[in-house]
Amino acid sequence: MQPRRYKFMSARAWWSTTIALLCLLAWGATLGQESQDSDKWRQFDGTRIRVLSSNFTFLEGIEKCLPEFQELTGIDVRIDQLNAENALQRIRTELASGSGAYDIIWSHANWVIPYAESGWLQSLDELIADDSITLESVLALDDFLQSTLNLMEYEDQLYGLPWFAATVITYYRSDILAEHGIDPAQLDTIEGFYEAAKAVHSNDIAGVVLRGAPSNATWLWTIFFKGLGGQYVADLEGGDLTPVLDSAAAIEATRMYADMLANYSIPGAANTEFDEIVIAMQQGRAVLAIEGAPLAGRILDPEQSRVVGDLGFRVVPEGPGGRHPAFTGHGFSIPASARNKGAAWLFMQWAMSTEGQKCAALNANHIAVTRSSVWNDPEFRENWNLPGEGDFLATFEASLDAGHPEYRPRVQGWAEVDQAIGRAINRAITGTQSPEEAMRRAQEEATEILRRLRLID
Amino acid sequence: MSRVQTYRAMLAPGMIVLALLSLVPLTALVYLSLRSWSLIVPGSNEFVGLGNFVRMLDDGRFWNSLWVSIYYIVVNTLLQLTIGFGLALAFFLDLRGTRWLRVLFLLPMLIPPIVVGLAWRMLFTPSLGGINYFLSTVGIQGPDWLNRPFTALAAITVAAVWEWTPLVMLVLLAGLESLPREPFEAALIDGATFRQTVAHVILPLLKPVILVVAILRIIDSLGILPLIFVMTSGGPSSATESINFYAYESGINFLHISYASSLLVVFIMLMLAFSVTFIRNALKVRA
Amino acid sequence: MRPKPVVRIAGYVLLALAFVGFMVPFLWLLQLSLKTQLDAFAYPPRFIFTPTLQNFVSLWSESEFAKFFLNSLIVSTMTTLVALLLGVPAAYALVRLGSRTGRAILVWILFTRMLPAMVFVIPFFIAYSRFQMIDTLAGLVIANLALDLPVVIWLMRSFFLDLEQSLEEAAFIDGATPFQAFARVSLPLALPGLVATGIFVFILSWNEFIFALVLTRHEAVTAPIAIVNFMKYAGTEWGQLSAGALVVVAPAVLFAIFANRYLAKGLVGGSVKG
Repeated sequence: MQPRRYKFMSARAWWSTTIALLCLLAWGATLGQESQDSDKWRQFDGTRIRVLSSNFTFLEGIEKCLPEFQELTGIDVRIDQLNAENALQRIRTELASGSGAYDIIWSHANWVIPYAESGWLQSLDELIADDSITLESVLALDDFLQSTLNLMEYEDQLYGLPWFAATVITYYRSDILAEHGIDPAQLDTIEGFYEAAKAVHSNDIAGVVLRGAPSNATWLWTIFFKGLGGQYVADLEGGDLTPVLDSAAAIEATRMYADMLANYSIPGAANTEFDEIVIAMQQGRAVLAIEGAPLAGRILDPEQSRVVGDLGFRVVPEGPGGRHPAFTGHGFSIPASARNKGAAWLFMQWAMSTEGQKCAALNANHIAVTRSSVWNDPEFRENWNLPGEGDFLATFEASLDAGHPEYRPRVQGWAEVDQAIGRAINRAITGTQSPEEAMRRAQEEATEILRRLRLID
Repeated sequence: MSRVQTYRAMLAPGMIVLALLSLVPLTALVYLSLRSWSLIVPGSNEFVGLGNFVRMLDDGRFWNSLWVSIYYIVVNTLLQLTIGFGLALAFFLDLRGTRWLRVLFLLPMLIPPIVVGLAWRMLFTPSLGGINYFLSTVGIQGPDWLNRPFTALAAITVAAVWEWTPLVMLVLLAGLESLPREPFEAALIDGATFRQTVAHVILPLLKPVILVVAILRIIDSLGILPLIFVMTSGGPSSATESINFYAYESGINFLHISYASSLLVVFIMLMLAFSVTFIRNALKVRA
Repeated sequence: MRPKPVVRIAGYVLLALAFVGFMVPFLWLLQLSLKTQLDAFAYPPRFIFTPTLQNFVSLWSESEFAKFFLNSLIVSTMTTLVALLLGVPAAYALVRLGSRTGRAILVWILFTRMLPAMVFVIPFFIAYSRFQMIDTLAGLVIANLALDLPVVIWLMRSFFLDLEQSLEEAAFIDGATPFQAFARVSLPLALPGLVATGIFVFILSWNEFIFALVLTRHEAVTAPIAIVNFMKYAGTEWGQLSAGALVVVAPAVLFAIFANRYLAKGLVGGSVKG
């Protein structure tokens, strides 16, 4: 028997209607989603949030993009920017007082742990779990560079979102090295780097520039310290925090570092911070430098730089102890006492979204983004493919890959120990003490500090 | 209401507020100094008796701050006294056209110390010209003032002297003008030279005033925290760090409030030693 | 006494040198405030340049400086008023009461007067954190009071001691209450001292630094702290900084010009007179 054919609708008509209906449904669903999303964005319309931070390139960029956020959410964002030392101190004081004056604070990787341990930060996991204020597609946690997220974690909880992945690379004047017949590959080892600095140093141009100011020196010194086999504490993983700052590796690293800065660098090297180093490289006053990869944009700024086209990039030198490029990150956290956590969380998601980070990167000299999607974005790559020997972006990425969150110990109160080491390096540079004496004193001071903080007996 | 009752009633509000705002905090300071509380170390609020003070004996940075404080006390005060006395004499001569200068010289101690520090910081910053530029015009290569220990101390002294010498001058001038005329006339008749007059007439008569000013300046010489904050932040490497700046760093910057409190207690004891003489003296003048 | 010409010349020279020395910082601030950022860093420093008022303009329009200046005005005025309100009657009463407790109180006042603010900061910080008083103008006024109330009492005490009691006695005979005698006779007589003290306290609280630094965030910030905040990361804006500094100095300059006699009285009285 043949099945009846109903003339109600032809097969084609049926199919087209179904497909049309499905499309309508899908469009309706996205509409619903969009209107749900825009509801989420606008739920804190009229609020003002306050951010306390230091002045970074990311903030420069984000400030230019703020009008977009304002339009999207109706939230007014005020950012207070101070210099790093003052900002850190103000943040510490603010968190300790629990006054809730700021809704977002700058989170330095070294400080996430102490802040979180004292209960001063809002756990982001809690906020993420709250569906009414979280937009999954915008947040896209998986898109972040894992190493940068690790910096913002404490006891497996997330306490901040990173917007700056900081690492350093070796910059060198390819023309000068060529003149001296030095193969750039020599810069890959610590010994080679040291010898090269000495060889190319002259009255006209310094051999090498590195950070010498006590508050900064350990950032680069650690490359040599760990590269030569040194360790900060007896057993970081195992919890034995007895400092080991007077080891042979420590003394040798200090000797090398001090020698380079005292005799093969620019005048006033003992107090240089990254700003002076950038300017020195821009002006062509030094041959070698190890400095932040994100600073390449400034060093090669066509309006201020004399060395465009003569610069080369390499990963930092390694030694018997391995290759330890400096690594840290910066991000935002929400204080536990903040008054406008919802609005603050919305801002954080927006600012650190793919769109947000890309906007910041394209509107300021900001390259240290923390999302793979932005790293791989063609517009971003085109903007940042800096000219020079060696592939800049590849070098930067290789350095980030090798980055370890515990580049320097991130325990409670390490900042003081860091200062003590920095002062020791400084004394060695100025010749006030020999490297050995300086490191021995650093060891004493560090032990005293850690003892006082009850971290060791 | 009797007179005494009225007076007591007039006194009461001020005394209550005073007690609340000075007695209570100072007691709290002493209390904190006997504990080991650091705001950044959870669970550290425990009683440790004199533990902080014992630790201080071993603390190199404390001894450094003590020496720096003594430097400030001695050098700043001496310079202020000498220059202040010289200026007071110059004004006392009442030279023509110098009256209005007195008003001008009031300014340094009236403006916010932070501005004093700022202005001098800029003057001592090589890249902004200032002092080093002027030195270079006479062929001297100026040092990086604020980044080397000795010159940083010198820079702060210059700023502190600039700020407070006017006060010394004012007080000494008032003292000079309130001196009786007879000794001067006698000296004039005797044909004394200016130098002799100063040495044998003025100085002896002015001694009480000089002493008072000296003690006052000694006690106040550590009130230069804003200067240190703006010019050097206690650096380079604590070279310009006085005791109370160390306490600020320790307590507010690193949140070790108990240790900072004990530093301040030691500071107060030091000041007590100096001020006992002054308090006794000052109270003697008027019963 | 008519000193010899040599001495007079030495005097002029000393004063001239002192004059230069005292003016240099002001002049330096002034010239920096009138320069563009580019000119500011020019080396050798340019003394002939096109001055610009841009720094002053952007100071008031771009930053929140106007608000901070207002904060300073409010805090200083309130502190002065409250300190006088509490301190003047107290000083008078102390003087009239004499007695042993009076002495103890005086010793305490002298003692606290000589303590620098840092000594109070930590307890105040803890207390204010606890009672949510951080970043409030009222909180700042109270903190300043801790420093200034002893000053008021000490200064007014010396001014009241100077008064002749006979006029008061006359008022008593006429049937005035002790408080009326104070308000109608003694206070008007001590008016110059009162003004001097008031001005002195206003300036003290205007210049106050450490409490404002530690106890404020972004609402109750006063002018001196606003200046400190201008020191940014990538190169300080020296022009705006200098302009701000000059503006902050304005009240002191005004007082110096128009009230210098009072000021001198207050400063000297606070120091020497017992």
